[in-house]
Amino acid sequence: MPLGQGALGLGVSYVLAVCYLLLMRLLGGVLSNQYPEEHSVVWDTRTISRVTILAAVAGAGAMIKIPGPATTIALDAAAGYFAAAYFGWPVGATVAAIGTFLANALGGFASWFPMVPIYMCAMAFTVTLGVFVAKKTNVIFAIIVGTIVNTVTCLGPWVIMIGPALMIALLPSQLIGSAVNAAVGLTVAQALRTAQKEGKREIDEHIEPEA
Amino acid sequence: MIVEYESKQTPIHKLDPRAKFIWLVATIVISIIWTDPVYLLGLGLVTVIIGCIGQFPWAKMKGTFMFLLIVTVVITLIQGATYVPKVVWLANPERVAFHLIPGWIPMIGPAWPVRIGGLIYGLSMALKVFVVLITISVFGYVTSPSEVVQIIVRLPFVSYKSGFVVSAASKFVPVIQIQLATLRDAERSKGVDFDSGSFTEKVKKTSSMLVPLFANALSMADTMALAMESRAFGYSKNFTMIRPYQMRVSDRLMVIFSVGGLVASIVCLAVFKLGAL
Repeated sequence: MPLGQGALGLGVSYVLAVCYLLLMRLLGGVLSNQYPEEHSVVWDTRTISRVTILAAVAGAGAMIKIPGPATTIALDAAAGYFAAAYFGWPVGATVAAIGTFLANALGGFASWFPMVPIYMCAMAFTVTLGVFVAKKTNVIFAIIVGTIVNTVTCLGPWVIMIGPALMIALLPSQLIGSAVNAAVGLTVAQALRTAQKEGKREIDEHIEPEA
Repeated sequence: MIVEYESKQTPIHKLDPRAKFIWLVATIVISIIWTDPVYLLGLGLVTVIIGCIGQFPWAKMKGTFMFLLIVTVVITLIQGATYVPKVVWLANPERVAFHLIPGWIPMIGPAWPVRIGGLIYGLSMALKVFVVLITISVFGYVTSPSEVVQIIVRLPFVSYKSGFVVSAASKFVPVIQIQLATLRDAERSKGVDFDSGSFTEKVKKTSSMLVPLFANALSMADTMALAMESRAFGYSKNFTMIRPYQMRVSDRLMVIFSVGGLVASIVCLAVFKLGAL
């Protein structure tokens, strides 16, 4: 039975959001231990500026609309996936959370304001899980897992509060939107990483060895 | 925000942003804990009065209200047809108010009964949405975005770096949007038509635009880091505010009114069930 949009329903949803954060921390800890070069982040000025600009990209991404089969899709979560894959999960999770806040703020979040912190936690967890799966298996599997988890974590609180009717109605658009964002974010990160490696190799080839 | 901030000399505009933020939080929390539509209507009325004092442009909300009205009517009917809560002050909440498919429709009617309890519950859910919408819209209209960031930075558990990130990111959004427009124009000049093709083709076209966007963003981040370091960002934890705020009598009254209302509503709900269905 739905718990309603009152204190009980929202309270349980916030507890769920805390669980997302705990799971994120758990997965992130594993990533940081196993891949310290990629996923251990020092919060210096450069990292802060990267988070700032990528969060702005996420905010602006909410205005990139792709007309989809079920609804129009916004690329607001792609920056979070990109940041997690390119700079490590702590940067990715922070970008995803702040980017979600900005995207909702710019989109007129007034009517669903109490849900925004839950979405922020859900997105932070999703990008961490996405990059975890990408690291353990491959990008395709990460996109599939990211899509399913993003859909469940974002619509889950609504199911708790008002039942499954809304979830069923929103499911197609949410699934497509999540898939596109995960695919774009992770593939752009991979493309830039490859380009960076190619660039380095070309530079190395052009440097003459010292006599 | 649905209604943009406007600089005016109203009593609400002049309030300390912290007092306005406390009012915002108190109103949202009260709207969450109350489930009685009569109480929510009263709360909405108080919010409307505050909006009127702040010369809120209600006409700009017309479109949003119309859209939300349709959504809330649907929510109310679905709740009425599917959910019957216990209502403290209602003798028989399972009483049928009407049927979604009336009896005069042959073969299928009457069907899908909408019950009084569920209808009242749905109405209160709809009112919650309206109250939160009005409150945040009024807050956004009377408080400038820079003031909102100043509030975030002043929160005791938030580090100034987090405040800086939110503040700077919100200011960089228009810059990224300009870059996006330039990249889109560049793609169009190469003959790319973003409106044609299948869904997959549209995604591919947009993705091709995003690679240079992210590359530009990383370059911007490096330049920004240099600018921040040249201004000794992060050198000291003892930072100062550009705008020091001082609470006046009117600000204190607003805080007392908000916090007092919040405490009273929680106590009355817990002890006397006032505000509960």
